[in-house]
Amino acid sequence: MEQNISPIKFTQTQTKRRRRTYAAAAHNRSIDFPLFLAVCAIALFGLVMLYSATYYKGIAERGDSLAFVKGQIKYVMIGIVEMYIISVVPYKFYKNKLIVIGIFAAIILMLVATLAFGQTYLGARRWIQIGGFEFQPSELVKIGLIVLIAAYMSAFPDNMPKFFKGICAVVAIIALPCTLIYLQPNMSTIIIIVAITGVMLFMGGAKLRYFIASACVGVPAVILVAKTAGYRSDRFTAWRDPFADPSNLSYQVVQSMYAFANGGFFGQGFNNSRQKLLFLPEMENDYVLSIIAEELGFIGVVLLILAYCFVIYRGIRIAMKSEDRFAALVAGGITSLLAIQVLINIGVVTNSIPATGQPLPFVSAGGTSLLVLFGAMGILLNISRFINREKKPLFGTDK
Amino acid sequence: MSIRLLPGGSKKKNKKRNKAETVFEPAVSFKRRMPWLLLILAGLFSILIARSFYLQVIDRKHLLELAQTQWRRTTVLTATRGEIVDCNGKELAQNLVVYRIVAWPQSVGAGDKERVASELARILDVDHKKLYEKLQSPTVREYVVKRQVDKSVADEVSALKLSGVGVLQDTKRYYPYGTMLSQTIGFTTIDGIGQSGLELSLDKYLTGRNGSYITETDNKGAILSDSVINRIEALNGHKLRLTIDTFFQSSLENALEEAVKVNNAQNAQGIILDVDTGAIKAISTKPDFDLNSPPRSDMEALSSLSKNRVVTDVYEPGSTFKILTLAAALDSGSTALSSSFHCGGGYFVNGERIKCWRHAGHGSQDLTKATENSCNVCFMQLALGMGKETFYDYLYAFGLGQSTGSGLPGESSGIVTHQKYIKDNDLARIGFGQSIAVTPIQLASAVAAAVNGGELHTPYIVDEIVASDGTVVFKANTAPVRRVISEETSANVRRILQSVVDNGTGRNAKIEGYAVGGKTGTAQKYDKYGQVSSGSYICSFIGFAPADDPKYLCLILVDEPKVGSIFGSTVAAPFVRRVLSDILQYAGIPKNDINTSTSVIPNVTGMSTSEASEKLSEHGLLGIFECDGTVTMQVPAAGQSVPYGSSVLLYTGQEGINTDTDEPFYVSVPNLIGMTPLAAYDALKKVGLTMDPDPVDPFGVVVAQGVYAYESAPYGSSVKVYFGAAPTNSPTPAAAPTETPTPTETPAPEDTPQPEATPTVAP
Repeated sequence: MEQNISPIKFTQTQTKRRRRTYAAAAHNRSIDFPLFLAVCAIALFGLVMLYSATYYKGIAERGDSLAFVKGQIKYVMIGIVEMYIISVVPYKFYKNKLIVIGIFAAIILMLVATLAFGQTYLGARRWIQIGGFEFQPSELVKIGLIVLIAAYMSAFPDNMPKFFKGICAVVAIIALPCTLIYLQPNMSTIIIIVAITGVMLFMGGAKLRYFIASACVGVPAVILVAKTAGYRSDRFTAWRDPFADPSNLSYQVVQSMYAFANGGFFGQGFNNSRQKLLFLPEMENDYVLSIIAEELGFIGVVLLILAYCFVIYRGIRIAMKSEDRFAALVAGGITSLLAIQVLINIGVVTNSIPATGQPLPFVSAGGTSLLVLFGAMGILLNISRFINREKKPLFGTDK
Repeated sequence: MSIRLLPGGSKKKNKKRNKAETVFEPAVSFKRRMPWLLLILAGLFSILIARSFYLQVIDRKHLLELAQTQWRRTTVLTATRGEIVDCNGKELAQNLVVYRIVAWPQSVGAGDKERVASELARILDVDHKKLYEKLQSPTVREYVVKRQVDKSVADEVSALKLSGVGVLQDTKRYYPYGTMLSQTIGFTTIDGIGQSGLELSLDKYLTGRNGSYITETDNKGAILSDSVINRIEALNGHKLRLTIDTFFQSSLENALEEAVKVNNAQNAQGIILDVDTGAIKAISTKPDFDLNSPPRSDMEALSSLSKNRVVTDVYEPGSTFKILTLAAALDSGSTALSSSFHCGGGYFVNGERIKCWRHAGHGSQDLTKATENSCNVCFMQLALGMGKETFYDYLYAFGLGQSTGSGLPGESSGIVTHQKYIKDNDLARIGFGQSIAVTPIQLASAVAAAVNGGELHTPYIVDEIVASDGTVVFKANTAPVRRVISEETSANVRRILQSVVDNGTGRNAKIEGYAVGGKTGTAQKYDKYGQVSSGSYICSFIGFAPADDPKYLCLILVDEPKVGSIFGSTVAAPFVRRVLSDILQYAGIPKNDINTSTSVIPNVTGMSTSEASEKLSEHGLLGIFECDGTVTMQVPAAGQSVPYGSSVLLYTGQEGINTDTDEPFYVSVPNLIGMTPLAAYDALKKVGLTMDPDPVDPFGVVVAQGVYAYESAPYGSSVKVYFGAAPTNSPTPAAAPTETPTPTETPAPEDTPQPEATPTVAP
């Protein structure tokens, strides 16, 4: 899809289509530029830090300091273009009944195909090979489910406070995809999907007592499962007492903590990480923040978190200023997805939560994650074109 | 309210957009709940920021300490142990480069451990199982597989290019001369820590200080360039330069070794001093051991072999001590060269008759003649003539009764009984070298003072200690400690001692072309109960040359020789002669004009004693032998030039046990049954036999004897005597040990119990 689309070419086609298809007024409106810039800034910053983090590993393992960065540069470039293109596609397109059905069908198809033809890596079947490109469908499934849930909620707003027609119906939407993902298995994706669903139910108007009730049942259940089942119980132990077995079970997280400690308040300076000298495995992936923390210190970590917070704030602002229920829910869902992924990643690398595989959005190496997230940002940016531009305070409007 | 399901994208419906929007506007609850969502997210991010702050600032120190251990590797820079060299710079102790095989288990690939373990076990001959366990261990960071590996083995290991296995340089102490100076130099542990001798006593100078550096490594152990932290250079050990000359040393050691062999002795000790400075040019005790492979498994034997007996063991010197009596008597003026002495075979002191070794006596003699004869009576008179105070002043001035300060480890101070407890008969005995105990080095140093012009020097072995940068850390002090006797006295002593070698008992030390002075000595040993030990003697000879201006002094002691003729003149003197002859020539000391004709000793080994005597007399030499038989060894050896008229000792290997000897060598064994240990001892002694008691700590009375009464036994042989409880009718208490006389009460004290002159009287 990337080869025949260029921004220039697209604007030409767009100008033709503008008058014919959708309301010209909407298209004259611009995207949320601060959000666009913030995402690009994080992605470019991520490239630089990924280069630093994998410099030594690249030379040691592939004889090329850029080995882990080259692909990432390509994906970031494609991703930014992709984000812009998708920001031009009006979000109402996804509300189409056929499209919604198509999205659901595509989700099921992809997940079944993954189980059928997927690549097995470390005991999990999560990837399918398309051409030379390794693709993780579960990433895309997250966005698809957000759209589906938003479509259902906006179509039946009165059902939301109800239990069966509200909560149960939404849970039914995610039930089959989650089952298929469980078979891979890919617990972290399921957790994220469940979390996103919860956030969307909250935004969609589900009654708070249902939340409290499900939390009372869900949290002990999750802990029980975590403590009893195989490798998950090991992870639980490793989280509670990482220094009990620092050379084996909790090796990664201990190395990550060393990196944080070595960074201190101001950091060791760019390219001065010690932990990237093969001590920290997966430094290009889930643990890239550890190297950032080591080189740029607490200051760097805080600034990066603030950048994510800015993106999240802009996303929520778009959701709140959106005048369309579907758009508001999609924007809120996408923003929540980003927030949850950032929270889980930082939580893992700082040993605040048990270890689970979750890349850091826009920074960790990995094509699928990047392209899916840029796409999601594109949808968010498109929604931003339609928001209410009246100058009124964001909060306290409902007096 | 009509709800429109999923509005399509048609143009028509889009035009009704404003109307539709009111229907799909977000619920009021949405706007109310979004700030809460923001708040929750802000809270969660704040927790993570706090967590990050905890790791990066609050808990940083603790985590970094843990992290340091994995980032850094400390490498030790081994300090080279100081060398030990002789006075000419020849290396006596040096360091060889060897290799140490080290494994870093973390850097050995998980699938490679079995192969690495089996390869190393094969090449290095180490336990495969133990090594494999170490490689498997997650906690072992470094494991020394084998130390002190030769280059060829190390190369074999390197060639395999095993990851996680390192070949590091190591050093090994090596003694190029093996057994030479083994007691003096001593040996080290495998880690190069001194364990005995100078290696131990001067360890702090030799060791130096290890250096180290810390390198930063990556997780595979690869050292990061430019990452050396805190490099501390190794400080190499200091070099010891000894006064020893390897030539002197090997000459002395060869002589001692042969002395032990031909005399079948327990051990032999020797020392060569530079009389003008006190420098120890050679020092040795035989038997010894190879420093490169000390017999570590037998600690008892090793500790006995590493004893530097020349400084640690005290003995009653006997006649060699007469040099000091002579020097003291002459210097104090209590006697003159012209004084005359009469020996009637004994001398009454305090009512006790102390015998001369020659029971017949020496008759009338002047001082020189008396010294030549080694007459005990004369030296008793000299000691008594000086008086206790004067004699003791001289003894202390000669350095007796205190350690010489040579710096050799374990030096004893000897035993000089305080004059308060000394009666005249004890004083008389001290005059001829009994009732006093010295170490060989004390005697050598005192005699050196008597002959070098009268000044006492501290004997020393460490000439200088040089730091690795060339700084001299220590330099021996060669200044004399004190003047003991006048130069004139010293010259007289030299002259008399030269006469002893030229005309008297020291004849066997005579060297063609050199003037040699010296004195023989034979002393009885005391057993561990303080009793005179029957049949155990220490034969010694102290000689110096050139006699008119002495340069070197050599003392040799042969401990418990087991041959028939046990005299200093035959057991020790020939070896001193050989050593002095070697070193004088080596030192380039010119020979005197030789007006005496010399003759080359022919080889007579293998001949019968009578044939040998005939052959020697053809060459103008005198063959001396104790027992008839086939000559198995001769001293000096064939081919050496000796002055015309010298004597050659012939050994037949049958001395003392030869049953074919002439009548005079046989004695009749007395009846010992019923005697107390002391009485039995005396009875045997009277006829020239020794006692071999059973049990060794005798008690009661004799119940049986190994050789029956009135049967004959070879002269000087020992007789087995069995002791048991006294018969009940005998009132004698069986407390023999309490009756043991003190050494000074020995009834028949003699310096040389058997006629020293018999074989050596000049024809």
